[in-house]
Amino acid sequence: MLAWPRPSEFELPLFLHVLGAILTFGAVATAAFLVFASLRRTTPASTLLRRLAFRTMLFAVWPSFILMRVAAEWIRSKEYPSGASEPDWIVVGYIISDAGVLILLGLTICSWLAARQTSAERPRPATATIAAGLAGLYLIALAVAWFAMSAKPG
Amino acid sequence: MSTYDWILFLHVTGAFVFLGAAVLAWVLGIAAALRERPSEIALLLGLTRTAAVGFGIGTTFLLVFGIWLVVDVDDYSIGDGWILAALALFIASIVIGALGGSRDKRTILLAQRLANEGDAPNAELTAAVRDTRALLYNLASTVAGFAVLALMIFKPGAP
Repeated sequence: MLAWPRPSEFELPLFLHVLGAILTFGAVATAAFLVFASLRRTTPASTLLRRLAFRTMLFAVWPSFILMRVAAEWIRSKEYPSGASEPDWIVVGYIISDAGVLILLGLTICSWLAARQTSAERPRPATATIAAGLAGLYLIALAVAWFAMSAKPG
Repeated sequence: MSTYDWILFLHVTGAFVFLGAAVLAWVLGIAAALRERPSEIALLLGLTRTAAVGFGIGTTFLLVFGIWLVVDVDDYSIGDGWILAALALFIASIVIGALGGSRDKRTILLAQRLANEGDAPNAELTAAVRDTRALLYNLASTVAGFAVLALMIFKPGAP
């Protein structure tokens, strides 16, 4: 139901784009969940969860994001070759994915700092709270992007 | 925006939530398999309950709005081969995933008991958390889930 109807040459890049988007959402949601869960626990459990959130960013979020973004460029180059005017929903996707790089960078750095700074004396460093906020913000942005990409308003 | 656009968005939302929950379950499962202390394994596997909630919400959205789409779009029929294959794979994904999940539940209970009895590494727990059969169940369930995604996009045999 995701791609009705499209020329067959678009299917592979579309599949890779949707796969990357879903994995990105799942990985960011996982990192967000781990950081939020860590805020309600004391050490050493909070340290474990924050380390896992950081590793999720490194080994799941970034590779998925790159897959999503590269496949997006591939399908855009087929569907809207240079010079062709692009609909608003593609512009929304660009804004969210490109601005999202900054949020993901901030989230990666904050989750790394949060894991390093957590100790019995400092159970909830500010970086952990910031990471939770950034993760929540990015999840909302991703939801807006998949609304724009699937419903294509306008 | 048409009714079709809204139904498609909600159907896609179901796919994001269902497969996103699979990512959460895998991250927690792999992290648990790399640990030896019962309290850490209990913590990580215990958090997979949230993934189960995601599977439930995602399944509801996928089925309700997926079937609604089939009814709404004249070119599709519930008897189309790719739709039947997707439904079969989706049911297989849920059933096989539940089998893997039931083995994980037993591991959580064991980890919680051992955590309360000194929290020392235990060979039985390590074997349970790295159980090959549970791993294969979870892998097969995930592959089936992503195969449904591939069917939704490639639609073999669709007009």
